[in-house]
Amino acid sequence: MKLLHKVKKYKAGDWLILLCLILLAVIWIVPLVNSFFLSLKGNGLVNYQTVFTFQIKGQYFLPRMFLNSILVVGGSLAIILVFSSLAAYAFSKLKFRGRNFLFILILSFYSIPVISILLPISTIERFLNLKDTYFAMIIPMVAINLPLALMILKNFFDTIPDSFIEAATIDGSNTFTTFFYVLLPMVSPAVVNVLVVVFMLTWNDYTIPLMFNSVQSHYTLTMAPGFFNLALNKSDIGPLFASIIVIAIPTIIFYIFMQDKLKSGLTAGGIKE
Amino acid sequence: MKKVTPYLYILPCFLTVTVFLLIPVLYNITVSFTDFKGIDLSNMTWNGIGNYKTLFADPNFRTAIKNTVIFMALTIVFQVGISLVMTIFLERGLIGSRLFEVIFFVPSVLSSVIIAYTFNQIYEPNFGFLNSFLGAVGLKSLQHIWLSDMRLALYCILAANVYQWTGMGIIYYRAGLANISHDVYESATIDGAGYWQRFRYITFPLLKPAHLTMVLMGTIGTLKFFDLVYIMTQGGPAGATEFPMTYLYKRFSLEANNGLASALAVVILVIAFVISALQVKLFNRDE
Repeated sequence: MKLLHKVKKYKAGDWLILLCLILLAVIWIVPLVNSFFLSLKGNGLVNYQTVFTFQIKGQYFLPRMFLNSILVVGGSLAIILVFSSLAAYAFSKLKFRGRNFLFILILSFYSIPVISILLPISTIERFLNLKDTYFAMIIPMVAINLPLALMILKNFFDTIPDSFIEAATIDGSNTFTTFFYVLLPMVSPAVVNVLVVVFMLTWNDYTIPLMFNSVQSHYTLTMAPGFFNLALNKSDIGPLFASIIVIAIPTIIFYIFMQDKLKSGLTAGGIKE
Repeated sequence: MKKVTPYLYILPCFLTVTVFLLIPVLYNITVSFTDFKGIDLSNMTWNGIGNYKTLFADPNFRTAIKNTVIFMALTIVFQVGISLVMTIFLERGLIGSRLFEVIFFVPSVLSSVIIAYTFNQIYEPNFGFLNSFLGAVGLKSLQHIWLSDMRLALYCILAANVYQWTGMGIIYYRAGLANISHDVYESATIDGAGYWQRFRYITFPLLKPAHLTMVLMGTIGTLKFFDLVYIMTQGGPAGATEFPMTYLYKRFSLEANNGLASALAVVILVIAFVISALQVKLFNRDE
């Protein structure tokens, strides 16, 4: 990460600032620490064992959900990357009629809430016989995130001078070769950014698995706490919070390793939830 | 062949968006004018603006809109305020700043599910952290039943939302601060400007792009808001925390009132469109 200049000499106000920061940090860390302690309630670490060995119909619950998350997120990411990089290339470097209009049109779909299009998409999925597959969740995830990915990638493509393309064309490269062998490697930092940001959005998504999936064995990780909430006693919050800590850990680890990519990806796109 | 190539490149993207976003929007617009209930598509009759009339007359809808406005305004104020303060404090480079930054940012990489259950337990009236803490420091009179209190529930959810996303603002404000050249500050100091004046007349205005990003995210995010409310209060108690999306979901899943649900979707879409267009216009005007 880029350097925070280290202040050697602390001025009077600096101690006050440090105090405020500590106060804020305490407030910010309390909820999660509280959840951690709740996960140990009752049976201590045994709660985690309960969570991991929990079975429904003879199948291990949590690992299956983890696999489902990987499949759904992985599938969505792959499709998003391919579709958006092809389109971003075209919108940025190729000239065609309606280029600006179509770009703004696609981008404007960013503000659509998934719930409002639940029924039409479900109907289309049923019509295509995809309702009971993983695509039931992959399709809305892809649709919702394409505008964002497209915007980030196109902005990045725009920063590449046309001279590269001209040079490639002079060397006999056609449109696709230019795209694949010249430009794609150049935008790989942006591609990684998009990957990281969209990964975070899709992995943490709760609404789409909740509403678009009807197959018990396909539910993703974000559904896990809900199940534990129902399956156990209301007073048995130990395992519930164990499951919460368990699904929080991967994203925290991911964040710690991907901090820089995440930050540059977010500033390029400007997103929230 | 050359002429068609660009269209082939945008085809996958365009097709996906058209089929799975555009058509559903058109569906919503169409169905909002019918009395479509249930699943059987042949069961529709034209309704004119009947659904819209029902919608605007429904007190639950009005509460949802009221909640949205309050929530939007407060979310933006708190997130901008707190994250700006955090950013400026972190910029000093004091000891532990890296750790502080991680602590502030982590909630935004967690799923809403985690935040929701975490705060559910904090607000739990009998054993939850908040009431226990208040009791322990002798502030028993401030104890409430939080999420079941009609006057407080909305603000409890607001706190959870601010908690989740404020840290993310640090990134935007840090980038914004980095873009302000030091020369401006120097000449201001030479002219005798104090710290607060420098902040008010230089820093804050020059952060406009970052402000606009935060505002845009806050407004669109609030219109789409669903996850936290659904898990924490489901729009209760008695509709006190109803939001447009929880309202829509109830009309659709509990009552199978698709016509009304679609009408709401259209209204929200129009609002989102107007807000986005306004903000883009404001943003471009300064460029």
